[in-house]
Order: sequence, then structure tokens, then C-alpha cells
Amino acid sequence: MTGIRRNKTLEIVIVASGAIIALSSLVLWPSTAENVLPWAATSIIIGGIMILFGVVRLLQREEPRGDERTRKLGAYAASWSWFSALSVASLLYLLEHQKMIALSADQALVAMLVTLLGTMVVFNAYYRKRGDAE
Amino acid sequence: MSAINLRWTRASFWLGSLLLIITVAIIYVGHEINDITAVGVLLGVVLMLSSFFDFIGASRDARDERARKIGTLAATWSWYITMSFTGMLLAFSHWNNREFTTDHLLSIIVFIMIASLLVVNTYFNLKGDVE
Repeated sequence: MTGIRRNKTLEIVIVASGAIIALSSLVLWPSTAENVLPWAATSIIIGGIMILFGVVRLLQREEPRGDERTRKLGAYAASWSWFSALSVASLLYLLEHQKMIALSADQALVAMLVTLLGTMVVFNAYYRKRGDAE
Repeated sequence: MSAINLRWTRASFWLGSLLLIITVAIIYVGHEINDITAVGVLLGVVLMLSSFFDFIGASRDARDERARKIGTLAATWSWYITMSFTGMLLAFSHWNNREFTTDHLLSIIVFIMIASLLVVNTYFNLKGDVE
């Protein structure tokens, strides 16, 4: 399983789609209409990520897929992260209702993002260190 | 876990999910949380979270390996969808100068979390396998 991947159709489609999306920003860029710049920037970012992802996969050698244990640990970590995020969201609701905190919408969004990411990293590290999820 | 207990925890999770979805819809339409919706959120969350690990088959006494695999993978997909959605929302609401209230945003995120988990879990259960 160490040879270079043979079927590269998916990767080529991803790179081509990314290029089309990124190039579509060139059509938007000269426009003077309001709010065009964010859309052009977004299409460049999304297109760029797709091109990068496709190229990395094209260059990647075929490796065995993640083993069953790693997959299981990741799924457990994600489950705990989901659980924590829902708890934090409901806690924010109730604290906001009780006027104990006053978060702006952006702060609430960032709090949710940090909870989702942070708990995922922490639980993943914990389960990997422990070695099993039973 | 006995069949009756399993049925009860599943019913509890679905009931909590429905209650929470209805409550966040009311909060979204009404733009803010009031005493009744706060109780709805609390009750829904308690029902859901108390039966979450039984629902996804990951509790300590769960023995069904297939249910555990399906449940934990559904939670992983739900986490992924929520994460992508929250990131996109942060970027696009900034660029589009969209003014959300905190209650509005939390309603959207909680709705996405629950709906995606239920949809993906039901899909994998109907499909029968997750390979």
C-alpha cells in the first residue's frame, strides 16, 4: 500500500472546481457594486483551500486508512465535545436570561466555536493518552 | 441495558430534542428568551443530556457495538456540521453587516446541532452500517 494513488479523478475535480471558484472572483472584482469585495474574497479563500486540498491529496501516497481504534477514540471525543457544546449553549441561554452575563452576538459565536474546538482537542488528547474509550 | 430502559432513554432523547427545537423556534421568532422558553430550554436540555450517551449507544453498560458505532459517528458528523456552520456564520454575518441578537444566534446553533444529529443518526440507522 505504498504506491502512488492510481485513481485521481476526485482530486482533479476538486482542483478544477477550486480554480473555477477562485477565478470567478475576477469577474466580481472590477464591479463597483456594494458588498462585492467580501464575496470576491470568500470565493478566493474557498477556491484556494480546495486547490490546496486537491494538490495535497494528489501528491499524497496511498496510506492505510486510520485504524479502528483511532477512529473510535475520535468519535468518542466528538461525542463528548457535542455534549459539552450543547451544555454551554444552554448555559449561555440561561445566564443571559438571568441577566448574569451580557454577551454580544459575536462573543456568543466565538464562545461556541472555542467550546467546540477546545473540548474536541482536550477529549481527543485524553482518550489517546488513555488508549481506549471503553 | 434492558429493552424497556433503552426504549425509555430513546423516547426521552427524542422528547427533549422536540421540546428544544420548538423552544428555540419560539425564541428565534420572538427575538428573546422569556420565563416559559427558559423552562423549555432547561427541560429539553436535561431530557436530552441525561439520555445522550444511551441514545448514541456509548454508555458504560451498552453492549450493542453497531448502535455505538452509528451513534458516535452521527455525533461526529453533527459536530463537524455545527463547527462549519458556526465558522461560516461568523465570517458571513460580519461581511454582510447582519445584526443578530445573542438569543437568535444560540437558537440557530442549537437547532443545527440537534437537527443534524437526529437526521444523521436516523440516516445511518436506516442504512444499517457506517463503513
